[in-house]
Amino acid sequence: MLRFEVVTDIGKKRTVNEDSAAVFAIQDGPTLAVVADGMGGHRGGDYASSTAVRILGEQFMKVDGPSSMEEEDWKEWLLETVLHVNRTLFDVAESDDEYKGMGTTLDAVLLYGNKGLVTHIGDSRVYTINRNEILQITKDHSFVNILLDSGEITEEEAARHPQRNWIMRAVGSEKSIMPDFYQIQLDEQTYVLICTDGLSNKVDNEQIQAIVTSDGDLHDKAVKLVELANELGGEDNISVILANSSASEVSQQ
Amino acid sequence: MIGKRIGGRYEVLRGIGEGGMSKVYLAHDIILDRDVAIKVLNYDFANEQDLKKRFQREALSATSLTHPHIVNIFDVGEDEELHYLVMEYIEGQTLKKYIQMNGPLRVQEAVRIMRQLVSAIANAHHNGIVHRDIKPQNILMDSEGNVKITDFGIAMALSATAHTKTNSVIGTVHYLSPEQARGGMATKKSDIYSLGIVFYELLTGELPFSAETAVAIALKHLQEETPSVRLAFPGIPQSVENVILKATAKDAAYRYQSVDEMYDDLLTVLSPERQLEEKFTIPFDDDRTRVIPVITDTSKADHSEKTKIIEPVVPEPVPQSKKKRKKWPIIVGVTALLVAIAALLIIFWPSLFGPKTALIPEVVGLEEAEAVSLLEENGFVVEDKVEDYSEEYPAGQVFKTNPEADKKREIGSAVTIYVSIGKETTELTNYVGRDYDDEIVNFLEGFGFKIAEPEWVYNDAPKGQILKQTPEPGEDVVPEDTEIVFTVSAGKEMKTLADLSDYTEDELKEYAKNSKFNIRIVKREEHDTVKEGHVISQDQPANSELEIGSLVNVVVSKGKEKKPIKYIPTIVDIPYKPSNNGEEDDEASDPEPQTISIYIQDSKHSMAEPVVEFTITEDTQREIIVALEDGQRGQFQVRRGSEIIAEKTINYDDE
Repeated sequence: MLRFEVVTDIGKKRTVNEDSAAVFAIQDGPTLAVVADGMGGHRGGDYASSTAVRILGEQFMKVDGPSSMEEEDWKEWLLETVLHVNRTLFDVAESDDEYKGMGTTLDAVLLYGNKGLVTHIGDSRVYTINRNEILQITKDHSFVNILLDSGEITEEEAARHPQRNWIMRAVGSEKSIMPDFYQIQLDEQTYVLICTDGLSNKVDNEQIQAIVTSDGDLHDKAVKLVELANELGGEDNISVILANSSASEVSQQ
Repeated sequence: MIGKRIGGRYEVLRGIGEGGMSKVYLAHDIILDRDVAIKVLNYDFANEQDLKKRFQREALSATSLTHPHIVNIFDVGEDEELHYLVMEYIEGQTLKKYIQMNGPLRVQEAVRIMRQLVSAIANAHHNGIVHRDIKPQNILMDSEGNVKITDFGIAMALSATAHTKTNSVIGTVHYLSPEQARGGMATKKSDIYSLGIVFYELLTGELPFSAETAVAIALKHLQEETPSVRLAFPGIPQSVENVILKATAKDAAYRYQSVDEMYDDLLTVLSPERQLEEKFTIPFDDDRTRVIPVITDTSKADHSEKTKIIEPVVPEPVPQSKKKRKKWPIIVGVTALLVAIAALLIIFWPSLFGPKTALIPEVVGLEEAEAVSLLEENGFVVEDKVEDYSEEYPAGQVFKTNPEADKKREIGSAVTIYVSIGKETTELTNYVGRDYDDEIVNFLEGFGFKIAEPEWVYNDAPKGQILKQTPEPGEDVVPEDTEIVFTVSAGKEMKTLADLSDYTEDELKEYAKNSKFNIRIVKREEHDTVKEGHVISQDQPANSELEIGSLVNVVVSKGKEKKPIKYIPTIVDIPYKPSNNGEEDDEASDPEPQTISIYIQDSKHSMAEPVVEFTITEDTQREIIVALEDGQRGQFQVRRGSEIIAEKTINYDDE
């Protein structure tokens, strides 16, 4: 049985929560968990992230014969839907000054059986976490991360780079985009964490792992992650989706 | 916006430009009756007070610049949510537009424009202001073809926001120096780099580095050599191309030492005697190319001198390899190959070299004189000495030779020694007036400075502002060996206000003296329980933290409220009583006057003396008034001689 928790929090400094996060489940079928961190413009950020999550959810619930779909079909569906969201947002941004420059990160994770299919754009992150390790599945599409990858700057330089808030790919900010796809394998001891940079910029991997793998209820863990990010400054909005495939089965053993 | 009046005096006429973060309007200043350009920031500062302060500081510092090729800033203001800059209005277009329409420009025109730009930036640098974002979009050209630079320091100040930005709103990185791309601080040398890129664009009508995304462009700035303008336009003199190559050297140390030097170069760049100038090349120096000093803007050593001394390692190669020389790794490859071939030659034909060669001895770490004599003992000639900074070796010691130790060379060949002049120093920037925060600490620590715990002092300056720094600004220091101590304003001194209730006036005076609060008695009023002269209340709550010198108003008691004196009248009948021995019906005789005394005990009288005495000859009515204060008890007696005719005790509360 798949269990999940969604927490989104405005943080301590911002006046608007530009993050959106939601989980959509098809009866006896797959589950889609979506996190989006909107940005730009007066009203754009909030609109971009909530619209992205809404459209993904609507399209997901309308999928024809979900049980007959293979991984390749889902991948195609995800790509098409994300491109559709991009076009929708881009058109609004182009035609309305109020939304100019808006965009959103998007991480959509389709969970079915013991597998996960990750769609990723921007600098929100997907992790898999168990007692042994915490793995960052997604690569940030940020200016500094690419410089870091190319070996031009060090971790330390990246951490204080003035342009560390620049992202090179976002949904809605360009006419055409290409999301990254990743596959993940799940087991009973492994958690999936999807979060915005409000969490990952504040709480380091060891702390995240310690909280997620501690004893206790899924809800408390998700809340604890958000609380910790707030304690450490809470400069940004914080969103967390925490999922685990079979907490109940574990307790039955 | 059109038709709106901003700041009470600027009437917006029409839009004239738009950037990622701002819009520019033509407006009319109704006070000075002139046209101005207003740049309105498309930015929500609501939750970014630091950023707002930084923007205003940068903008204000730019208002101090006056130069024929700098756009004058008249005013910086905010009108409700709007933040704006009021600038000189230039009728014309941006240099970007001009290049798009007219590029590539003739060499003479490009040089003329560059001289104007460089003189403007020189003026700013002399005033301690680094532009940080020089690009043709920030340069305006008037109808006579003269250029003026705008937006000093502002765009970059704004990019410091914590909000995530997408590709579509981040500014151009086409003119960004490698050190800025790396996230280092923009220096005067970064402006020189950007000027070099602008010169390239003027001459070719194109950008030297283009790519799909900002980061791909940034990577090219970091990794690729500036392309040759002569490749596409062979008519451009080498001396002109050299200005670009020197200005855009990846390593800031090889650029012009100052814009003044660049300006001097531009003055003579078209003169006939420079027609046959050699192509500018960066001396091959392994140490140098690895370390790009980000903060330096005033290195002491004159690298341009040095470039003439050091022989390029690779001798002038055969023509077809010329193109490849642009990339160092390839040069290194070529060198390695040459060395490998040399090694093979040595192995297979040792006799060719045999007796005439020797190994270069290890002299690194020796004093200069010892090193020279050791090299000479081994049969080599020290022809060149290069002085440069060394992180490892103290001043006076050799830190490197070329060729290096253990290389086999012909006896009698020349060896260059590199003598340390100590660690590289950096001119310390002035941080006074900035806010002391993590950003500044991280930034300086990034260069190896140690940052001491700041000294907090109470001061009128806003809390967190740096008041003083040791070492002083402008001092040349070695970051790793330098601890910077900031003196930071703790804001005004705060003190806890005591509970002043029931203080006497003397105690108040004493407390005011000790606490340095300004305590003022603003009112005296009656009070049921607080005794006269004692404090009843204070307008700032007890235990609140207040700035020293704050005004505290107190109310002092006048004691209990006094009720008015009551005047209680009593009508008393005083009968006339004929004397016993008189005839009762002797009506003819006059009645004998009788003396009546009235005694009153009240707030004004005591019973010791009669209040009044009078005589009566008939029954008389008299009103006796007893004056009583609150709570008093009074009485009166009416006496005839010693006989009491009437008496009454009266209480204040009677009636």
